[in-house]
Amino acid sequence: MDGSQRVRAGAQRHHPGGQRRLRGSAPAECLHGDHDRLAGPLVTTGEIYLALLCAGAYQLLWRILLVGFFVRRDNIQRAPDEEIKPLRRALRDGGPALVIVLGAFIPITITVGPLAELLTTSSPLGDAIEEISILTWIPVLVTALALIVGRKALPSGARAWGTWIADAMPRFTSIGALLYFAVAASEILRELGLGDDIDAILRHSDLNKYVMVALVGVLVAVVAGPLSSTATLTAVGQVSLLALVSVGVDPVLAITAILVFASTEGASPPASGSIFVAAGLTGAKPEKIFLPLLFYYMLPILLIGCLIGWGALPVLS
Amino acid sequence: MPVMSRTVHNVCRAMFVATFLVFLALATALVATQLVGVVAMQPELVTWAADHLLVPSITAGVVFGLVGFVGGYLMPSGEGDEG
Repeated sequence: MDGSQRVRAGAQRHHPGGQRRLRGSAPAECLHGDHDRLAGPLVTTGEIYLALLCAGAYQLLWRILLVGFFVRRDNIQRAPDEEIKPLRRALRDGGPALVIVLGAFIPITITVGPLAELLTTSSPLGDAIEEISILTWIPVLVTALALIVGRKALPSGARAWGTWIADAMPRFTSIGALLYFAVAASEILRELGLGDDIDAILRHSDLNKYVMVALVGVLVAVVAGPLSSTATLTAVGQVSLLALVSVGVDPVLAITAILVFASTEGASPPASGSIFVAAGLTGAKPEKIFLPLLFYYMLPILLIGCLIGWGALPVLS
Repeated sequence: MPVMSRTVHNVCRAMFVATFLVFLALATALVATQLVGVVAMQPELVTWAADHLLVPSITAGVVFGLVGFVGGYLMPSGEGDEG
């Protein structure tokens, strides 16, 4: 039994007949179920954890291959042996920097997954866990840990601190404006009924599974260009899921593929905030990386999503 | 640098630093309070911080971002072309 078959078997075991229910009108709670249900009656959150882990592994594998390609294309030479530190020394010198990962790991662990479930159901904290915003926790914890790890490189004295902070101001000229207008554009497109437009396109399509997966992938990626992935899924996630399931795509595969499609958001020029943040950090010109992002990241990730939706790339469930 | 430009420059930098510190202080207070609440298993601390500090933190973050955005354009030429 391959991965997709296991997914299919699992979905049918828990929700027999779920696909037939989705051929009709869309249930309002389809993408807004309670905390252990995703896509209403179709799939539990637990069922897609491993599927998403597999989808992430495919994307990671692609990035590793891509790095190998860049190394060969640009003829990047191996570092001289004398410059390569022994592993123990490298960990001793740079190991503390790994602590910064805890800034993301801690809030994610206590708000999503088994520990969050345990804290919610079997601890005095209960529903208070839902009051934790990882969007606030992650930057604050990462900043705090970075300050601790890099304390020796920090400025000394109030004036030096002021200069150090103020020197970051020019970066906000493009980043701040872009994030502001990206959010504004997202809201305007939502107000204009982008989701209804996509629904109209897909509803009148009589396509097979392969064409529908590709069409949904392109539409989600196009929408994810100006919008964030959250806004994208809010606008077209439900109709995309219905469109895929209605042509016979397994619900777990459909959700996984849609999330992969939406994950192109960070690499979708020209309105992705991530592009400008990365360009600001590295000093690159954003417009110079639009085409490489398209060919090296966006299109391959779209293909990975399509292959998952078609069942060609197995995922666990 | 003309006196006017220098004044604008100094005001921008001061506002940027001040709004950043306010934003960071509020956000740190929010996270620290909730962290203590989680470690001490005190749900009321977690909820209190969300109720009283989340909106002020986000508001301060928005103000800080706007000051940085506007300040980038008001900086003397040569200082605002990095981003």
